[in-house]
Amino acid sequence: MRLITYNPFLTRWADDTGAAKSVSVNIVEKDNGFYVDLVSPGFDKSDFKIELHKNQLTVSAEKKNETETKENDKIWRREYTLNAFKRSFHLPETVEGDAIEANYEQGILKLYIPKKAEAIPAVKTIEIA
Amino acid sequence: MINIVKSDIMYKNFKLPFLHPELEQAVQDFVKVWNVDNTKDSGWAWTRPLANIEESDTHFQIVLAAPGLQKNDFKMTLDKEVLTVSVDKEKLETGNKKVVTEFSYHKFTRRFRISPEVDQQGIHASYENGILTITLPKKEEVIRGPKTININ
Repeated sequence: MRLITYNPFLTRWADDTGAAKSVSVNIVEKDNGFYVDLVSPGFDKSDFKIELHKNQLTVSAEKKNETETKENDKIWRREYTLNAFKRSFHLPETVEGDAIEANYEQGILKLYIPKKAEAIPAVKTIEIA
Repeated sequence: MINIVKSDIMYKNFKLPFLHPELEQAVQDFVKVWNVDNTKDSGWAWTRPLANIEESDTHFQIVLAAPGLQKNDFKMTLDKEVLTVSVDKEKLETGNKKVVTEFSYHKFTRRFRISPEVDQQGIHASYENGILTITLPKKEEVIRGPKTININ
């Protein structure tokens, strides 16, 4: 699996509009497919948009309910702003694009990208004659 | 294109002798993007949850982005004016192939110095959608402001 953009020092911070250029992911490969965990705390399930165009998977999110700060509020420290982000992945040929599953759990968007049946290593049991 | 850094632990014992200790700590924290596990599979990973701190008329709020955990994973202690938030969770080791590892929030400690304006008994926290919100109410006399004494 190849990622389009990656720079550990640049991708963590948001740009002027508050949109993070990218968010962190963990990707684990299992026999049956890829498991992608995307850091996206504070979003709502309906804020996400997951699109597959040919073999390019794009995950984007935008907060619909912006929390407003009152006039008197002071900000002492702002280490992150995560109102929107977008990240794309090139999927390998071996995956079943139509069967991608997504779940949002405790601030992590979990994607399951199953492999095509022919890409799953067949388990062959050899009987002792 | 991604390069999973598996090479030398260049930053593991990163030291800048000319820096003030606090700045040094900040650099260390920054450099801690290096995964704490140092397992062979791990590359660069973000291990320190980020915090926003705000103040309103009635309270302070620490908003910590620490996704993928459960409420019970957090341990919060208050020692005099230092609030410590930590998570020390055993990582589930599976024999799977890690393709990309950019974050790992299962082990961290963050400390915050609490203002004397805070009513320490009233501190409470909630965890929702991967965000730990710690509310630190101000003492009543701070909210009320100075008392005016009328001259008869």
